Amino acid sequence: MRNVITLGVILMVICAVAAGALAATNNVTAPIIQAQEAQKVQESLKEVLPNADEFEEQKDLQLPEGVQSVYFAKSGGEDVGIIAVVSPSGYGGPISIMVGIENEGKISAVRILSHSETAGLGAKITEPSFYEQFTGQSVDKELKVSKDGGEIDAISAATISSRAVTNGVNRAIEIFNNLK
Amino acid sequence: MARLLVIFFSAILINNFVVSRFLGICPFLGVSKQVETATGMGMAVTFVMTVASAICWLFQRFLLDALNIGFMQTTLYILVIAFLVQLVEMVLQKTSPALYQALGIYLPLITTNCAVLGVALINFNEGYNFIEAVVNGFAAALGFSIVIIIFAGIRERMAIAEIPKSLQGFSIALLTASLLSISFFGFQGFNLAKIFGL
Amino acid sequence: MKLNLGKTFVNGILNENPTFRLVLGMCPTLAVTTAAINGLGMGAAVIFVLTCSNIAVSLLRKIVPNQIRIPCFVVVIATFVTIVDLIMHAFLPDLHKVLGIFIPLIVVNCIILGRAEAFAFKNNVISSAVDGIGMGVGFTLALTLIGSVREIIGNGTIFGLPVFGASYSPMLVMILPPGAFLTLGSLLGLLNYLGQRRAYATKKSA
Repeated sequence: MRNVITLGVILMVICAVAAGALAATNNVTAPIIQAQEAQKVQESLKEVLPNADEFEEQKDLQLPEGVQSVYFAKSGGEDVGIIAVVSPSGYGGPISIMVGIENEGKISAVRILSHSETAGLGAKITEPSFYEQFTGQSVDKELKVSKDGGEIDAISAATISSRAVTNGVNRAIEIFNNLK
Repeated sequence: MARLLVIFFSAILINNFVVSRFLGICPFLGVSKQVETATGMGMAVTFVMTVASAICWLFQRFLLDALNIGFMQTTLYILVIAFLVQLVEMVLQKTSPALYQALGIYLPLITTNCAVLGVALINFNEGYNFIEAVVNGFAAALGFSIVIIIFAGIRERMAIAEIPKSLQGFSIALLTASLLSISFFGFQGFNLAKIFGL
Repeated sequence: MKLNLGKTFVNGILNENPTFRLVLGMCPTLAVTTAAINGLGMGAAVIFVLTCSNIAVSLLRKIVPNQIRIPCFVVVIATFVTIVDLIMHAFLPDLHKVLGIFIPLIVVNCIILGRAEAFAFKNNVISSAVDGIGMGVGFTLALTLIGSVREIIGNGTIFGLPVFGASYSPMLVMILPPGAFLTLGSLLGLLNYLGQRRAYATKKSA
């Protein structure tokens, strides 16, 4: 019996030391991780709408399915456009896309935040040669890939991924037009 | 319901633990020389993974999240799994000696099977609710079992085939696994959500 | 003593290379080696965990009774793994994202528990640390090699730098899951072949 207690105590002590060490590490790293994630969001926001300097997340908007968040972008206190984060489903799962639209009705930039498309094929949606095609497109009409008679050249052998991104951008356009 | 079906089939076919996510490779290579042992391993893993999914989910919700100590996740999960495997072993030994005979030798190996810890972590990362987590755990284990049994069937035939000396052993096993992986790759891009009308 | 330490170190890299000789820790070996840099990052994490856990286990070997050694090892290993996980998340977020759940899964990497049990629990702190570093370096070299092969053939680059020029069209399959099995299987076959040839040559000359 005494033996069991000794064993239990030793195990407890080791667990306690381990938990203490982890709590200490977590105390140091948690704020860094948080700050760095926040900074990443700010950087992407800045990248898709470069002429804005302030972004307000709209938390009480009723967002349709497939839209993660919407930001109003301001420059010097004045509205310059909106940014929407959409997540259409691609070939391997949801693709998270950030779309910036200027008030004049032009797409300022599109960035892929995360995806699980096939490496080397669908994953090419993260290359500038693909996503830069959206820059400057007008919001007056729905965008389509060239195969469907549109203006976006799909990545060869990855039409589904290309279409998914295009659909996502269309979602963002819809939101922009609804908010106007 | 449709969502559960999507999770179920995706875990078996598309994101198969062995050939696409690379979880549980050690038992896949180590315990796949005979169909019979592979089946035993598959059953033991299925049992443990389903129960572990449920218990880890409960611990996550009512201990880690409640106390806000997410950094203890890995430590707690692995202890829960190790304890669970011990418990299953003891219960089986007492209640069903026949089943214990069949599965007993595989149980200690399961603690270090990364598929078990892996499924618990995936359940958390995907934000599954309790039922989804259990379904995912069961289906992932089923996928593991299917692949390990198919693989054992191939290896039984290979044991009597003539194989170049330098390729014998793990080498030919891995090359075979590569072909198996290619065939499962055919399931990629199955739009399950569409099939089940989601 | 010095000679022994050297031997212990080299042992992990060559004679008992965890990947190519012992065929342990296959899950991360196959999963994260889509590029050389990922293999290197995973290896670095394992070196840290393996060395620290070997030291800790060696220090604890007189205190911890035999019956509860495995749970103690597991707690020690899990602690160091979580530390690596948190530090990587804070300072190397991109690598952390690529390696994903394979960082926490270092806990169940058989190499680490295996070395704790087979070496650190029986040897002094210094040899255990050296053993940990040696094994870790052996693992890292193996992962970087597999990652390089897959990256060169599957993507035409190494550590992100192009090697073949623009006209090369990469063999995609190498960076997809089947390529992982294919690369490791071929490398093991090649090593066996070289080993057998050397054995044959020594026999002939003798």
